[in-house]
Amino acid sequence: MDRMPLHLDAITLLDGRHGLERLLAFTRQADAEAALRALAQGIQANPLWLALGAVRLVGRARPAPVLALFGTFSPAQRLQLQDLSAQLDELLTAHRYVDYHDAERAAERLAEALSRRYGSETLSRLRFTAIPRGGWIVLGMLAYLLDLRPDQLVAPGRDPLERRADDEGLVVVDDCALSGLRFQQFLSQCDAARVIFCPLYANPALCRAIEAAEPRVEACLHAMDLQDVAPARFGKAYPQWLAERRARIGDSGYWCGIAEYVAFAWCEPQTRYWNTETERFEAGWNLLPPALSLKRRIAASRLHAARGGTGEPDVELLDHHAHGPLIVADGVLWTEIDSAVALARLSAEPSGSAPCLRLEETAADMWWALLAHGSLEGAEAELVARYAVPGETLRRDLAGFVAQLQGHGILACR
Amino acid sequence: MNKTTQRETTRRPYRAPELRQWGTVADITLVGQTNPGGDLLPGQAEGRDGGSISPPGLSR
Repeated sequence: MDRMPLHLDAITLLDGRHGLERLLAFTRQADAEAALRALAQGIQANPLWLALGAVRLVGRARPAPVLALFGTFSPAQRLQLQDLSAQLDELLTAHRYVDYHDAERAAERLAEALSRRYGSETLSRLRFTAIPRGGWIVLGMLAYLLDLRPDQLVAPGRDPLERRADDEGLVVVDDCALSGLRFQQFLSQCDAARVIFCPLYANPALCRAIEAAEPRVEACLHAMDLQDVAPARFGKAYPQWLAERRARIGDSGYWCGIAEYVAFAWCEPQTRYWNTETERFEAGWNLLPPALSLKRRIAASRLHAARGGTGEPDVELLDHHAHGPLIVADGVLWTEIDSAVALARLSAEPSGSAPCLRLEETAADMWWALLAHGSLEGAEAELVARYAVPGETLRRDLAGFVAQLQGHGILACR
Repeated sequence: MNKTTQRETTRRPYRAPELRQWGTVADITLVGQTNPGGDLLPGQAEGRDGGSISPPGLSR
């Protein structure tokens, strides 16, 4: 954003209430600055980010990490950012990241569950396939753990796979099942009479629902539980949501719940949102830092190439070290746009009633001088040499300016 | 951040500083807990499901 827009809003994406530890845990970084940069990379590695156009992502690492977006937003973009913010809130509250080591441990549990239920003799007669693409990574691990023969591993859709598998049974492996729809789609194209579904991560109620709904599914075995976050997400409105969901889901899924966030070292499950303009589901936000996941890394690389970027996150991280008594209040962000300064005190007002302020010319210079010196005296000494103005006038205006900023909660006294 | 030290200090015409409103600051970080009612997400951002129900053609 290089030119000064007529209207500029600031939208809070991260308001600091989650604290630093959760941000460090989600991004797997060692310090606040690196964590905010990693989070910015995750946010910007999305087609939805490119569609926002000229915006400015600004953050501050201390005392608590905060992040906001400066720009001019359409109603549809505000809804997308609301979605982004809700996801961030949930991810920082609870998230589960599965690296390759974790996946191996989970695959061992899955192998044990299969061995307990079927025994080695029966397992040697089963055929195994996977739901692309993450399922193949899990199946590769299972193949070693169960010592599967190469001829037991079959690709889906290769005739006569399903008919060959009819007699002995087909094990369908996936990395996770969140609603079961991908499995349902898979099953609709599979003629196997006896199916064992093995998602590595799933909610137990989803597994039981699949067993109840699909006569061909002999068992749904998973290794690790995913919690249902819908009750916490909707709170008192959960019963209403559940009723609406049950009415809406129809035959397109098995389970009326929302599985907790899970991401793998190879991919982060795709999210979707309903685009009210195009009236269809479109790709939503994915927020896992690209460095943590193969698919995210590739997506980020392509998006960077598409916009001619360097791959570095485009985020301003403010670092305020004033030496004087005047300091910028916690939760205040600022950015320079075409020589003007935009100031935002992150607000607890969802309605957007707090002002995003604009400083130009003398006001902008006063802001930078106050930031540099942290005192009226220091700022005045610098400014009086710059402007053709009596010192007394400048002193009076500067004091009034500081009082106004204090009134808006922008500046505070140490 | 010492912005001023990087600038030339020429004596220029002075105008009293003004604090203008450019727009608004909105906090939407708590909307998820206070404004439920969509399909899966609050408001009209319905449809987020964690991705496992991606329709054919969308790779997960």
